[in-house]
Order: sequence, then C-alpha cells, then structure tokens
Amino acid sequence: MNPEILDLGVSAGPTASGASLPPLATRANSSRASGRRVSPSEARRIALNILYRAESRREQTAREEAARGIKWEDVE
Amino acid sequence: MIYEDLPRDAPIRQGDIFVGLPRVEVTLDTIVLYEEDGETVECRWRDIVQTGREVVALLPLRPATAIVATQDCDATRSDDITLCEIRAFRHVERKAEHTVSPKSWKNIITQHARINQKWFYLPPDAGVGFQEKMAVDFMVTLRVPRLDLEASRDLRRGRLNTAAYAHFRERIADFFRRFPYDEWYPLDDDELAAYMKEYPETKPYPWQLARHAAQGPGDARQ
Repeated sequence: MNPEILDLGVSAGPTASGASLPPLATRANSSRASGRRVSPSEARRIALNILYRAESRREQTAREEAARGIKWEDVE
Repeated sequence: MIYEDLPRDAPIRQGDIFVGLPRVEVTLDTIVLYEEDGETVECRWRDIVQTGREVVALLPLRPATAIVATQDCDATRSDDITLCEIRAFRHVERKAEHTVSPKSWKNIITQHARINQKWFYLPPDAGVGFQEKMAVDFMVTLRVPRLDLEASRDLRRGRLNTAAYAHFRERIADFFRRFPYDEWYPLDDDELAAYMKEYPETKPYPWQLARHAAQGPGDARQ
C-alpha cells in the first residue's frame, strides 16, 4: 500500500473546545494497537454484538421519537 | 404501484432500488483487529489512530435493501454510490407500529409525510418485493463502489416512477437542507407552558425568561 494514502494531513492539537486529542500519526509506523487478545470465536461474538447493539439502539431511538409530537391515530 | 421495471443494462440512477447490499456496522468503541501474527485483538478506534497504520478488522455486516441517493451525474462517473436504507415502515416510524385503519394510514402517508422529513414512504409492491409498507430511512446511508454496483445490477428490483421520483428527489434534498432550530423560540407564555408540559426538558430563551420575570410567578418555567 502506498503510505502516502495514510497521510492524515492533520496534526494533533487541541480541538475547538480545548480538549486534547490523542497524538495522530501522520505516517504508518510499526507499532501495534494496544488491546485485549481474544479468541476467534470471541472476536466473532464481539462483532455480532456490535450489530445487535446498534439495531437495538436504533429501535430505542425510533420509539423515543415516536413518543414525541402528533398522535396520528387521533387526527380526524 | 409507484415503481417501474427497467432493462438490466439501464444506467444506475437516483431512485433505483437494490436488495441484498452489505450494510457495515462500525463503532469507535470496540473494534476487533486481525494482527499480522494471526492474533485477534479487541481495541478502540483511538488506539488504532494513535498507531497511524492501516489495519484489518472483523466488522459485522448484514444484507440491506436500499435506494440510490447519489444524483444522476455522480452515479455515472463517481467512484462511490451512496444509498439510503429501506426498511419496514413500522420499524422506521414507530408511530405507525399498530396502525391498521385506512383513515389512520391516510393521515400518516399524507399529512405526517409532510411534517416528518426523515423518511420517504414506499407502498407494498410484489414487483419490487415489498410485502408490506416500507420507508426510506434518510438517516441510514450505505456506500458501495460504483463499478461493483454496476456489476450487480441483478440486485436492482426497480426504480421509482416519474411522479414518485420527483417527490423523492425533493425530499432527500430537503432532508439534507434541514435547519436545526428550537421550535419553541417564538412561543408566548401560555404556548410555552403548554409546550413544556409535553417537553419538560425545554430551556426557555432569555426573552421568554425576561417576559416571565416581568409577569411574576406562575410562568412557564415552573
């Protein structure tokens, strides 16, 4: 892969709100991302949970939205 | 109904309906990486950004039905096509979850559709495979490489007809043109009190607070 593609073109620095950002690498380096080792079966379970959680969140949001505003069943 | 058949080799246009496209779910909170040494590692997106490298990850996908949102010129030439997901109407608009009577449906499809700009109603049609009332959910977009989509035109089930397409084109433009504002800003005291009864989390504007202060207790802030 052309490493230029990974050039983010941005530098780390404070956000508009003043919060600090993690340092952004502007070139690929060889370090690994820190994280927890998981088995392939657990990896699959985690990925599926991401899907189910997202669907569940969307459903909850849709219900909250539906509770607002006009009750169309009551409209003459 | 409001759809038309088209030859398989017809160019992809805004309003074309596809089935079985991959919808990817990504969260910044949890990502599972396949490392070069074969290990699988759970981490957060910010951990990956800090390394500044490309990664291979395990992401969940599911097949989705979707309608082309990209306008025609871009759909002919650009690398990517954007589509909006189509799902059962009762899932997109939960107000209609238990709607049965034609009169209620008439209200939702005509009046409600004018007010709620987040979806676009699609009636059932055996030709496109819609077994129930459906809706375009403008909030959920998919991106597919144009060449891949052109090579998968057998997944295209149809296209909106002229009347429906003209409406869809304006509605999708309206959706992205929406202006976020606090709808209670011009309400007078009594109107604001009624509004806050329904939405207690409402924060009155300074001019509304000043009016209350001048009028004394019993105002809408209570």
